[in-house]
Amino acid sequence: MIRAMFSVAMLCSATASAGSGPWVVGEGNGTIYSGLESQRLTNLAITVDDERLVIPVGEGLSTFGVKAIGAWGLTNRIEIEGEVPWYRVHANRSDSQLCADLGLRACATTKSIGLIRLSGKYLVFDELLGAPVSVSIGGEARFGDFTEDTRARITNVGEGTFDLGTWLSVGRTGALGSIGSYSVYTDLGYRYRFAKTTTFPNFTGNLRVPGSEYEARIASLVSPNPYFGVGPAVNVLWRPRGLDWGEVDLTDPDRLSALRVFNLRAGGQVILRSRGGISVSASAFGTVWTVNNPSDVFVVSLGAQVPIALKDR
Amino acid sequence: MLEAGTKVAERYVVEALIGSGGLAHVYRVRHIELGSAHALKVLAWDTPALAARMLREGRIQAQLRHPNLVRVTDVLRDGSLVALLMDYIEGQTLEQRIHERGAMGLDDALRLMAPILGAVAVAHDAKVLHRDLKPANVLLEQRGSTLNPKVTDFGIAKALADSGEGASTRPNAILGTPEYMAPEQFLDAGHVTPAVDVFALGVMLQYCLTGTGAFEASGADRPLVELLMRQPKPLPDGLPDSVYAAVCGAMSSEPSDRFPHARDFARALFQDYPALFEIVGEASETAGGLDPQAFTGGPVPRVVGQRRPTPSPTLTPMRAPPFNPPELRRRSKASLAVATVLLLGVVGLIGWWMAQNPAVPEGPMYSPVTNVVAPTLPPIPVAAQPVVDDTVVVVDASTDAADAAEPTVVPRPVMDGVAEIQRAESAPELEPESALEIAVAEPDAEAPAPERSSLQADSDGVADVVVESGVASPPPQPLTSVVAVREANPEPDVQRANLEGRWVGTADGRPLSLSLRQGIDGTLNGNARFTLGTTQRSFTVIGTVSGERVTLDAGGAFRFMGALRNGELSGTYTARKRSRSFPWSTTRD
Repeated sequence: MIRAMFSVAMLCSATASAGSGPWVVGEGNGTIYSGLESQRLTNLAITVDDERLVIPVGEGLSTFGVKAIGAWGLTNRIEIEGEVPWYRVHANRSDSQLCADLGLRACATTKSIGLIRLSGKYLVFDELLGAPVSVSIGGEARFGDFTEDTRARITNVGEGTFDLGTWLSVGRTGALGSIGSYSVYTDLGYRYRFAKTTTFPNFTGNLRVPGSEYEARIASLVSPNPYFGVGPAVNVLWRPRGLDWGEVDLTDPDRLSALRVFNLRAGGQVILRSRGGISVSASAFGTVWTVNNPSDVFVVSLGAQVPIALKDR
Repeated sequence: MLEAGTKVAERYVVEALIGSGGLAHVYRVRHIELGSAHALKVLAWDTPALAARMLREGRIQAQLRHPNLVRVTDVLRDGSLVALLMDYIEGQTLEQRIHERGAMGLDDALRLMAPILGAVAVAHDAKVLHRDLKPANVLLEQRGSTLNPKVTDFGIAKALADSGEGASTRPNAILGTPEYMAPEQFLDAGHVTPAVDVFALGVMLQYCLTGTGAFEASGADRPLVELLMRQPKPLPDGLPDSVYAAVCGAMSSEPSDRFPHARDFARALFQDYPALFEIVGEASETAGGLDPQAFTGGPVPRVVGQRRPTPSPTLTPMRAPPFNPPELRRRSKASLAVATVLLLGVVGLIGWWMAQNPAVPEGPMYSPVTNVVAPTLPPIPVAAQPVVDDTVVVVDASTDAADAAEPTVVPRPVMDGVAEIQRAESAPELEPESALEIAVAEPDAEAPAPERSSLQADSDGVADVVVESGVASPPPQPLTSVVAVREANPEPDVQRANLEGRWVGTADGRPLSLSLRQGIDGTLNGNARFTLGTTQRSFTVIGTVSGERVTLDAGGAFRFMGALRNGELSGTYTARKRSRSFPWSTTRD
């Protein structure tokens, strides 16, 4: 479950980098984003039968990660993107009662590559050509099988599945004053997760673990000038099918990814852009509401994005 | 997690871990003084909320006194540890038993169900719902020559009369095990009646008789509609009518058609077996149970013809149970309405956008001869003398069809001005591989300037000019050999502004930067970069500058046109296949 939450954090924290929103980089162009990320949690919101309880998880868990995201415009409307993160996940007290109860070397420190993601995006409606909003559709593939050490570990950053997703993004930009601008967008996604298992202890029905997920991002950016932007963002992850914490078997290695999950986070981002197109972004997100996930996660990320011309002009 | 040998509350010693869940571990412990074995359920999480829940579960289970219910006998506290002490049952679960030995005969199944029904009836008498009855929650205690069933795991039990904290059920919560859940339990586990336990008991009896259960093990991850519309498997042939009718009644899809209480189900089920119904009503530790040897308990005395009155549930044929719960109908209609609104919204959005952006006929609206026509610029004062030498364009009228569709047009040195096309009745015939030279003539001052034009040559070597004036576009017209040009700069040596460098500003309100390199002949190349949210979108641009006028083609997507005035490079840009133009304005960075 906490591992699932870590995945949520990873997905949500790249808001300030390439790939968010419907827009594409254009033919022959690309961007490279590189960033750092850290998050910490101390409480866990679990659902037992039908009740939501918040319980402390020992001395807390923290992560530190580095990620690289590259985007490339195949045409003026088609873009592909790849992401490779690396994480170190650390239980602040591996001898805590939580770690003892979870067993299975759950709190061993993990240093490994996280979920590798490849995605593509097609810009259907283009604001630059007069459409009222930009709309793009896309797909993604995530690879966790290559990266997991053991699913039993609470600090494992790879969930050990192969996932296919589809996205719809809608966004709009416009003027604010003479040199200012704004942007607002939403990304709506569905991710089919190929199950690791379909049976689960203490559950006689067939349960696909992990279950499919829905994800949504809403963000806006206000830029009083071309070199600075700031704005709020909200991220939602919902895995509707799964077990509650009270139903899982703590001795099963799939216990965490079997959980149904809802996670709502709110935060904001700040972007500084240079004249050459290099941008530095920082974002911070905190959990607002969650089910079967840590309830007090705070994620901070900092990164830089550099435009590159991949095609000889 | 407690290690073997750990002492708990100074009275018990842990012997082994016998089960583990998300909230608690269950150990076999032994009383140090008495030597008796017990099950100890220990919370895995040290929180007051969870402790309160466990105590609530313990209270519910402790108030139910029946020999076929697993008893909770004590609550232990040891430091931060909170635990429930329960009966320790040595034996398999009913699920394990049937998995190993297969289905039971009718008499064995009824003999087993009688004490289970009695236990659940006691819970229902106490206004307690189990909500998760299934073979895995029935322990088979071996007692002498019989297997005594014990109902356990009231972890999600609901006390109907308990309205205190911890007793509420989240609206629309799905609790239970799908194969044993009544339809209404999928919809909202918080508002259910003892009929959900009756449904589960009916499914459990079918499981005993068939070894496979009434429903496929589809799991809660299946779509709700699929779970609600599932059809039960048929009961085995040869069942007495009373048993068949009772099981059908217990598994009716409508809760109001089901038996309202476990005892009512028992009464209908055992109407031909009065001895078994007495077990339900007067359950004792020796009254029921099974022979452990392969369920060969022998025939149960059956009294035919002495049927007791039943609550007359609506009996639903097992093979085709009607099912269409009102809640599902309401949800289906709501889903249809939402989908319709969304669809209309999308269609409306697209329609509005298309209305704002009328389509133009297919065909190249711009030829690479971009310097001949300046569509959106205001007319430039007509020069007294037309320029001839510098306004020649060459059209390659190849016979190759592919080439003909996109004729190679080689611009000669830059021409700046507005071209007007005079039309002829017939197109000139061109020889394959020949070139058409467009001459310059005096302009017709009365003729409107076309907004767009392009050159096309078909496979026959006929070159046409496509003329568009305003929004509507006339069909291709035969090319005349005379083209009039109003020349902006009559001087052969064109004076060109220096646009080399970087320009920043906005394009239709969006941040725009232009990076331009300029050739000595006035050609431009570079890139245009728009800032869109967190993305920067770049286009390769090529074009020309003549005088102070600039034309840039951006990746074939659209065209910038403008002029340098007072240090500001500005104008409009137009999408390649649209008629709308948008303003852009930049200053030197």
